[in-house]
Amino acid sequence: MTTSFELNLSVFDCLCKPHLLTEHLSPSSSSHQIRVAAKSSSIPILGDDRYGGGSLDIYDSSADWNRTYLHATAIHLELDDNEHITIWSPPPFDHLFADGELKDVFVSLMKKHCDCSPILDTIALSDKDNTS
Amino acid sequence: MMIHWLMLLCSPLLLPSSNVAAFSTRHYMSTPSIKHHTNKDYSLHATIPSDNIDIPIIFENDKLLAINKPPHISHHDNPSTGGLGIMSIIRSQQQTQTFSYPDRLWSVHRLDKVTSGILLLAKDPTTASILIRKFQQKEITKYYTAISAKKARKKQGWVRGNMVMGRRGSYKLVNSKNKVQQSNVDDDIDTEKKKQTRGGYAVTRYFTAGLGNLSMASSLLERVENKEALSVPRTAILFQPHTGKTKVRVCEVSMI
Repeated sequence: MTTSFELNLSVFDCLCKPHLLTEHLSPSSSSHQIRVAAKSSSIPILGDDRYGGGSLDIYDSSADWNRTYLHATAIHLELDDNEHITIWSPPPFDHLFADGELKDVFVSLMKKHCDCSPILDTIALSDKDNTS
Repeated sequence: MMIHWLMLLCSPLLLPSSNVAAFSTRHYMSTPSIKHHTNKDYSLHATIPSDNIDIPIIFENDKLLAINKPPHISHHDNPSTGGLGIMSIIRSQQQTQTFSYPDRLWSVHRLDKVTSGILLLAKDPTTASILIRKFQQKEITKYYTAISAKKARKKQGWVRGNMVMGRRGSYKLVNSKNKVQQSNVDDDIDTEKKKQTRGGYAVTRYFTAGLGNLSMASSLLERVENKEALSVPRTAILFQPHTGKTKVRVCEVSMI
């Protein structure tokens, strides 16, 4: 009895709306936009073979060396009038350099150029968490 | 014998230096088409059971959650390779209780397969519609970080143009020097052109920082010292997409 119920549920899950929704949503995403922009500015993204970014060609298990070095790092939105959501996800590229200096480069790029103060506040908070 | 002969032909001495690293690390034969690394990436994750892929939840409230999507995972399942998309992997992890949020999640935007980072998922259909509309109307501020092996010519800049589908599913930018507003572009291009520019008009801002002063990881340094030709990280980039694709087709009706 239980098994058949679960089975039905999972079939229903497979057919149900999220799939439908995303199929239709996909044209609105900025798919490939960043990678194409990088290529056309002559700074193709490392590891992005499709857009001429080259590859590191390092195969060891210590890190994911041969990935495309592109990371969705920050997002800010107003869900409704009094609910703001801000997320900062530091790029996971630290294995490329010796002493984690890369993190500071990205943080200073953000501090210099990001005009979204909630994102900057979130970065400052996470900095503080890491040092304390 | 034949194999040895081919190997000899491919030996570093006879090849342009740019291919040396590729040949020294892999045991393929001579065809130039093996430059594609995507196959390697595929197998990397195809062999890992979906339960073992770490999908951290990095933000959660009562309406939505955000995961840190690992690279090499596409949004949708790929029927031809059997590769699972991120939504299916989460669903499978929910069934084995390796994903801490147990209930249904609604997808509201997507990341490219190769891209890692923040992916928002709605916990209910109402939040999903709100988020989809916000993504569609560009009311969500997004930043991407990246590394390039090339030195940047400019410290910062804008990239504008129509995304046109080129060969093998890659996009290219056309009219990128034409600095007209997005609305004009939509009005001006004729129907035939519109069909081509399925990718839509894209505006992306970027900022760069050189990485020449940083000390590279030892596995990279060894190769640089051995003068093996390979790409090394030279530029850190911050991207801010100002428009995604235009002409959104969203089927919100089917949600509820």
